[in-house]
Amino acid sequence: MISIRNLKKTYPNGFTVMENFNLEIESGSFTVLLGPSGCGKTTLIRLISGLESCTEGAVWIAGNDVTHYEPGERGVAVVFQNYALYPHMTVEKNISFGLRNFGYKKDEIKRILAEVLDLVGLSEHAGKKPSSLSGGQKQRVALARAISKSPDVFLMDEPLSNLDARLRAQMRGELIRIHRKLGATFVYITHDQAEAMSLGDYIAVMDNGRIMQYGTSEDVYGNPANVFTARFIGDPGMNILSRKDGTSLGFRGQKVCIGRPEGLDCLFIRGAVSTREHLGDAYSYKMTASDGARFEMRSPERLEEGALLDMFVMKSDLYAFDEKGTRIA
Amino acid sequence: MNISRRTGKAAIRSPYTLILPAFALCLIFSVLPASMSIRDSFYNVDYVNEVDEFVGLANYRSIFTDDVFLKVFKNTVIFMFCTVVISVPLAMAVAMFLNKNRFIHNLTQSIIFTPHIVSFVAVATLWMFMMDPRSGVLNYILGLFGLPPLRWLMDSSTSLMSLIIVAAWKTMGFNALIVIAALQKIPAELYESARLDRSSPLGIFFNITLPMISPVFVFLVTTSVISAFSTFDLVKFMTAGGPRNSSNLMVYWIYRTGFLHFQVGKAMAGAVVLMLFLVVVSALNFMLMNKRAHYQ
Repeated sequence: MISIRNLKKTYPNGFTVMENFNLEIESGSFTVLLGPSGCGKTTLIRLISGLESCTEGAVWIAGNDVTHYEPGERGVAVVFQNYALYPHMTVEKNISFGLRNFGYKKDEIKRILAEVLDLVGLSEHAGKKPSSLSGGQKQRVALARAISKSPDVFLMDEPLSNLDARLRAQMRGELIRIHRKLGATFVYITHDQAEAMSLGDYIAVMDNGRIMQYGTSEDVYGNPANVFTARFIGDPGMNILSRKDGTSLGFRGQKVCIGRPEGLDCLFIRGAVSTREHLGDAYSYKMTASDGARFEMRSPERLEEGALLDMFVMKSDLYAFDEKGTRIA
Repeated sequence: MNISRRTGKAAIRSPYTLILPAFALCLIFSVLPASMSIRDSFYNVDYVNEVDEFVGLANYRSIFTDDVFLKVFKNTVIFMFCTVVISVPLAMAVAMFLNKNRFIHNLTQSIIFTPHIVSFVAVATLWMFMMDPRSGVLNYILGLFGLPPLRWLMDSSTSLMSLIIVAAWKTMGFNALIVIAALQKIPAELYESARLDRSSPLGIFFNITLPMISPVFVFLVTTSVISAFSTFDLVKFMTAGGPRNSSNLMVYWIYRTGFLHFQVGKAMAGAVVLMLFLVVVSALNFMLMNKRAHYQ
């Protein structure tokens, strides 16, 4: 288990990224840190790995206070967004370099090399230099390098964001497979909520150096704790309509029904189609309500731009937030 | 439409038109003089008495039996070897130390670069003051450590060493700057990966830093070798090759033989030997380093 206690990080230029930060990450889980850029998720991973030192507070990994341990002594491996492979070393050397420093013997290194290269499917590329590999292959080398040291914790900082969409989808599958096989703790950073939902057992939604919500992917999607999470999670994010008393009402674009709500307990909206986007299996509409509020709607029906409609959202699909944005119902 | 077609046709002929100025300059100022040197090295040339007769390898025979030439050749090789061995590793050490973005480091970077842009005459004059046996600061410093004073440029046992010190000092700042640029291009993640791989600071230097800047190393050694071989100003201004040719170098010897003693053929034979030697050393350097250096 990773336990982060009362963490504070202030950079030398005086900027405080996080303060009083607490987080417990379950052993063997696949936990995703999700948030917009600048929310502190990369800093958090660097603090866990020891690449940055904490200003205050402590980091515990597997029952040890590792706050003052060197990065190499913490039992963590980091996979970087830009792979960070040693460009002058072959694939094999990239992996064995760390193993030699860790004190493995020659025949052990040979066995581990064969094992991890097989696991990521790069056995026939062992003698190549990184420059002759594709982006996906490079990231798999980085992954193999991380796996080779059999760490308790894998820290991954947007490892797939330099890859194209198709490869990214394929690598996601591989990551899940490798996680199941190794049973280690994976902490994975992304700013892509869809990626977070598809990978994570748990998602920690972050903003401004704070955890906005920490729960299962079903939880953060279906039961958002605040306006920030509601807006950040889902494609599109939740529509939020503010009311005169400062509170707000949220609903998902997929839950908007077209028609008149005869005698149903629901929110009634009258509005017009502003723009239409075709998504393949459905259409995404930007709508303008009669009171000027804007929201998004998903519907399989093809509507003309400018069309005036009656719509409603069932009461069970509505979320209420107080004036500070905290969920109340 | 018409216009673009015309430029299209012209474009086929234009590559040669475009390289013509550079090609002409290269031909007139490099290829032509070099071929004339080679030709003259096989001739007995005397501009005063208008003699110009073919003598075969006589000029080469005369230089290789000339003790002065052999000494100068040896001096040049020592000079080249020592300046490279001193200035390149020193530049690396300085660069490692200065590779930080604090004000004081940036200031020092600028300061150590200035010798490179100052003319050799000024550098020579400055060092002649410092190397003065009686009032020079270098002997004062030696005295502080309880060492006996040296006669620097005036002693045949220290004159070449003195020139080596000045040459290394003049090129070091430029070399350091090149190394700093290379160091700053190394991504921080590589160092972080190495730390996660439990590499020691020394291990990081030898396994990450050094291989990553190896292409620059090849560049520095090559340019330092060439500049050491073509050193003229330092010798002319500081020692005039003396005492007793102890600090005489090839280019200065060629100049003196050809233009002061008017033995043009002999001087040109020396020039050709220098040229061949330079070609061989550069090729060797490239072959050796290319094998080891990593290019991205």
